Amino acid sequence: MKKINRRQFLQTAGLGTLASMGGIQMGFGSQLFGTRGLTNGRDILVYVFLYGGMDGLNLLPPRTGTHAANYQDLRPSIQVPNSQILPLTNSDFGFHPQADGLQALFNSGKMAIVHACGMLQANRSHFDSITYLELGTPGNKNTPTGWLTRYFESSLATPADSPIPLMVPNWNSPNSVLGSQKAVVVGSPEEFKLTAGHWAWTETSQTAMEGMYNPAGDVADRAGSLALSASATLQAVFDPNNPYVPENGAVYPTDSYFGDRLRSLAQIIKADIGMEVAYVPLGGWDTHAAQDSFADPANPGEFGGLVRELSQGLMAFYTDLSVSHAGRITIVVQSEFGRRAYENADGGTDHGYGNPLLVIGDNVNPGFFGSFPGLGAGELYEDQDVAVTTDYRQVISEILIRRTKNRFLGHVFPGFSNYTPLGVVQGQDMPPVYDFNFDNIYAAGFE
Amino acid sequence: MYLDYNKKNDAFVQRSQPFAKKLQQLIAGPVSQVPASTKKHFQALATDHEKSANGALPSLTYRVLSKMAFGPSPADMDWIASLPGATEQDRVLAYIDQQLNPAGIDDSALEALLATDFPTLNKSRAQLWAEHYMVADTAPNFWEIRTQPAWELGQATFARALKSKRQLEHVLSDFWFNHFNVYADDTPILSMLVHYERDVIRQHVLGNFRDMLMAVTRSVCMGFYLDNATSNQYGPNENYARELLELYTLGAGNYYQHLPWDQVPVDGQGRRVGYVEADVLEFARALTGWSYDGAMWEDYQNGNTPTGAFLFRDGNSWPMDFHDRGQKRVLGQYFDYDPNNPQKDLTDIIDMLCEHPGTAGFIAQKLCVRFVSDNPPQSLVDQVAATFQQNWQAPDQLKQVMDVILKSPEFLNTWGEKVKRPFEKVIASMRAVEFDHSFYPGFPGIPDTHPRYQELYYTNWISWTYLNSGQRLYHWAAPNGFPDKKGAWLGASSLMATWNTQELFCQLPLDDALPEMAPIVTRTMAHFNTTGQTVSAENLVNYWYPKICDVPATGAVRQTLIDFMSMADSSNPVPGNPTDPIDLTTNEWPSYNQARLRTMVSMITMSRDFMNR
Repeated sequence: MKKINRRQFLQTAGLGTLASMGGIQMGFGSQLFGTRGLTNGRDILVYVFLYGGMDGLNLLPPRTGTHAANYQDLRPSIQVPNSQILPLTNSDFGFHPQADGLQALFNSGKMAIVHACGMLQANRSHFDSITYLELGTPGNKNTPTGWLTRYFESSLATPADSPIPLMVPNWNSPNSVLGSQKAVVVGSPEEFKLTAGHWAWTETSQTAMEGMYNPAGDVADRAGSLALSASATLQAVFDPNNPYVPENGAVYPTDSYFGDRLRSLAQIIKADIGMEVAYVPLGGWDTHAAQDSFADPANPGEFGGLVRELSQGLMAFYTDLSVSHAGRITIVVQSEFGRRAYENADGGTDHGYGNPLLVIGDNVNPGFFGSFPGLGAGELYEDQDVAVTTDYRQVISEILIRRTKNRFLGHVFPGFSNYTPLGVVQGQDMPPVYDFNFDNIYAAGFE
Repeated sequence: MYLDYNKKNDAFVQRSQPFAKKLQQLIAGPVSQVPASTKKHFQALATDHEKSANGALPSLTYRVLSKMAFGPSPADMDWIASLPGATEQDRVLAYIDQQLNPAGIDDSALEALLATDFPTLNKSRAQLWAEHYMVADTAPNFWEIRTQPAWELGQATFARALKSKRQLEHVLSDFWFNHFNVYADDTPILSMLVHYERDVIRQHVLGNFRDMLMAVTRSVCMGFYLDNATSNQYGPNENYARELLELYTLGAGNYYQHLPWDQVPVDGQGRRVGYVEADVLEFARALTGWSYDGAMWEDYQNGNTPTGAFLFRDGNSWPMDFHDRGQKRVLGQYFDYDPNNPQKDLTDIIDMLCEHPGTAGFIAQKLCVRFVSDNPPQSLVDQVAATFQQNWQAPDQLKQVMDVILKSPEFLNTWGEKVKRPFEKVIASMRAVEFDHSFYPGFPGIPDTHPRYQELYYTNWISWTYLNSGQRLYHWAAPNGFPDKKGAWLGASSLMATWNTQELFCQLPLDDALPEMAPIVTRTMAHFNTTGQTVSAENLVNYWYPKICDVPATGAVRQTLIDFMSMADSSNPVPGNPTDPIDLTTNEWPSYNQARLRTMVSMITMSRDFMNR
């Protein structure tokens, strides 16, 4: 297969030829790279990280049965009123009233929920927990690279010439992409270019800047080089003369960075420039005080507002891509931990432990997985929190093997060695490789 | 309150919107096409580009100013050169001594400017509370008044970093603010931030760590941010207790998670070496009641007007009965409530933590990461930790600590172990090109006919362009503060927003009828008039690159800059003859010689070499 390198790509798609690219947006990658496009019909993983410790018990409260009675006891003043919980097919659990989009996805068979999912060792520190998850090494904060960095190191199926295989729509780099040469961290892809200097020379200076950074130099040199090539690519995708129109009636939440970022991602995915994984932040979940209000559905509290943003955003994103990318998108929603099972005196919840993990897409096996450990006496972890019954690495590993075709689990999650799929998603299993130092070429021979 | 960066409509963004619009109109000049030949030329260069560090090392003076100050300005370089001392190192050490005694440095010119233009900076805690936080929401410009202190502080921090002669003090304020980070996104933090930065943080940066920690504990900003102001014995909120142990004192490295407390190892002096979950809970109990007047809804009832003052809620009825008077056990020691000294249970625990070698080691490591390297030598960290620990009660504890760091061979000799973060890069390039601006913040309701409106316009313009750098001041949502390691600051988005800011201010005021705000053309003409050299592309690069980076340009970087500078026609930008004279007295279409020179100079500040610190 003939490959096109980055330089050639820039010569074709870069700055100077922007105007001539006008009108090309959908399938732009396919036109540049031939019929295969850059993702080559492969799956795309969108990983939504809810920073701050999302209160899974109020996102997905028990609605009927023993769990519901315990839930109501533990949270006398902050529980989701039972009459407002949105019911889910064949389940004692339901969604928060602001999560109608998530309810619709579940009830139409597009969502799998893993109960009480998390790290096997509890840690109530945001920073430790986030660091462990982002590095992909629970219990070890000194891992020099992020789990997505290592995912791409070992992803044989990713074309070497993808200009932006890994996108982080954010201003700062998360540790999940620590040490990555593939990750493009961009807060606002539409405005991602030099614009602020003197109009006569700004554009020329951006082209010239290519000569200031060495793509084969040290980590800072490469970062400069990557920023410039990503800019050229994104400018070709986000053509101001050709505004993006979401499809299938998708409506993204307004006044929301999360909504804007998912919308931009949908546009990038449709341009087919090889984006394979996106790591999307949604923060603000650290609800220690006065976390919600249920009196008026139009005016939820802090937590309800976030749930609405999450639910509307994911629903719009799924809908937008449901035809053009049917069967190719897998969305994972995870937070660093859940919250204390019982409420605190401030109408909020302190840091907890086990939490639901959501997987959304056409290839999920819909329904609930794992086991809910209960909220009764003797069932809570340290008499305080929902326990963890499923190691989150089982779920992610299954998606990597069955959907994105990376079986080097020992490289992505060092120390992980007991892959046991729960059946959360459909797809072909492959024997996992648990060695950290896999041999790329040797391994490739067996693909 | 935590990692809240999905909030879009906050005060500063809203403030900047009208300016953003104007800005877009201004820069929407004719779009020039870059011919393919030019692109190819640059791309060919990029492939055979040498590794940026060209072997040359900047001078000691330059290196030290890049690390303990916000970058070398020509004035500070000259100042150090003028100090007594036989060698450059002697003069640098004399400069370090001066910086360690900021009260002895005359900064009156800057202070006079700030006092006039930034009225909230000198308001007391009580005034900020009464005049800004408590402003009636029916008052005209209510939101601008309420947020005015944080807005002024944000701009004043730019002005101070750029112009203050007390550079180390402001570098340290940045460090310690981030150590005790609060997020300026919500009231009352927006109203009280001036007090927090000035009295809680900056006052102690060369003083005593325990004093700073106690001031943080009594502040409105922290009490609100990590919820301790409302924490009470009926359901203690762990948020502040946990971060105080994990981020402010012992550090996560000394966290023994769920281990039973009596299994935590004991050191030679009988101290438990770390903390466990149970300690967090007990410590949270000790912290209950440490609040401020105005933290509770009840404080506003029955005709009462809260003052924002520190308030210890140790009474007998709600909401004054928050403090838990029971015995607490932290790190294996027991702390009893003393009715004659009711804050003693907490202050004794704080004493224990401030004396603890774990705290000294954690703070020492963090300071060495800031000033020396992402992986500082353990020998230096140990030396700094010992100074911190042995002097934990000394009023100049942190000055002694900084003395050890700044005079260590590791600080003086390392270079390029760190990269400049966006704020450091922007300020360092402003200082390198002698950019001058008041950062005038305006005032609530300022009309656009105001004689100083144009100054405010530049302030906003810079602020808006810098917004997406990832280091928007006082806007890191989490309590751990802005990251301080290289890997966190090499994101494409952060680089691009910083580059845009650098390109912008080098061009300001973007009006040929007005004097340059960074005297790039002025300095260049004066230099070439003196030397009599030809003003050519080659000579301009040879003049400006070492002036900004303190090393000569080499290889592809040099060629790129010369080629750019030799382009005579912005509508057909192809490289010309590098030795041809360039007329810097004009800025006319299509050559825009002055604008091109300023762009070239800004590109030098965007170079790999200039990233080093």
